[in-house]
Amino acid sequence: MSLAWLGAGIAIGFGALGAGLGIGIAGSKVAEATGRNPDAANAIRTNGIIIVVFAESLGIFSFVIAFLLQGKAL
Amino acid sequence: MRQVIGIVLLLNAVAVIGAAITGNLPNWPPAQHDIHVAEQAGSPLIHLGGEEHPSAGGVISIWNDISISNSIFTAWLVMAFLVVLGIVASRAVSEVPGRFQGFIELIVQGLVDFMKEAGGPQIVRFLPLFGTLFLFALVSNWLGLVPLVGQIELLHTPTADYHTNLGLALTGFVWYQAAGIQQNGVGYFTRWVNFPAFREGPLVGAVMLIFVGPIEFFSELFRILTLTLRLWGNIWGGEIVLAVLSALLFVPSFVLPFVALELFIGFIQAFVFAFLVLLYIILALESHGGEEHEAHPAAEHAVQLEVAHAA
Repeated sequence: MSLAWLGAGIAIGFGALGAGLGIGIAGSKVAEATGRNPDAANAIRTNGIIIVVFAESLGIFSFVIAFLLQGKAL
Repeated sequence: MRQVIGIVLLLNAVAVIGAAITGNLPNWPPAQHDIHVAEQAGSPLIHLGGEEHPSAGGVISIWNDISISNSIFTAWLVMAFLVVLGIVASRAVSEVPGRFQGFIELIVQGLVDFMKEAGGPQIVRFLPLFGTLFLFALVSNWLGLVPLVGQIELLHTPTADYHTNLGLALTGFVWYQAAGIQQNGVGYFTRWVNFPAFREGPLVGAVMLIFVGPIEFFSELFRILTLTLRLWGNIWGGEIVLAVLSALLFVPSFVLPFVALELFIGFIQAFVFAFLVLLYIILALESHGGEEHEAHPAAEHAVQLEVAHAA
């Protein structure tokens, strides 16, 4: 049963790692694109938010899974 | 600004000293039962049917517990707020807008401009759906930051309960499928069963039929799942973060920066939810087997986004 705690930790840890890497890469490209073409800053920001959210939702999935596992451990 | 910070710090000091004098200081470090985390789904207020105590076996207990839950009640409050706002705003519309009317017009005009930018002028007819999803999710998310909501029996943030989000996602799902069928007729179903692809040759047709069709079909189902879980995980997770941090930081208003963060996240998530439903509508309207290629740049953009989503 206590392995579920470990599983929850691993799930949220690696999930957050992947989501963080994805958001970091996307965010750096958004910053680069804004720097290259400041006039399109609004459109780039909107699309950047949308794309970042896709990466983030994977992190949220791992959060949900971690919480389900934690509930199992109790 | 300096005065405001001073007043906030003073109030904090008064609260902590008052609690210390009366012997009500919270435990530090907090134990698990000191942190009042909002539940992952609403709890029933009035039972209508099903089992009184649903078995703990399943996480998703849609069918074995039919009741008016506290999140439904709070969703009613949100609806009442929005309806009253709409009635008050549209009752006395004048040529020269006052401050209140100007504010409402700012919101509606902002939504319309955004829709036009994303999908062209013909997409504005979906403003009722887009605006409703956005405003409902926004008010719900922000309601979760109000003290007592999610902490007492009667109130539970609607979007921190996955049933509400599933309802919103299913609404969007049905709406965009209906829009696609209305626009494209039978041709809409070539998304999944692509017989016209056999014109390109038997191999292409077979690949489209066997591989691409099922992938498309499952991506439809995953859209519901991702829409539901993204909003729920963000809002509910945000409530947990606030509860845990306010227990850890001890001084009441040290958690205010995180409240500001949650305000931002609540806005972004409401926006993303509504925008994704809008994007799915745009994609459904244009899923035409690639015959009409006069699509405007924004639509191609949407397709690129979809590719990014699928990848």
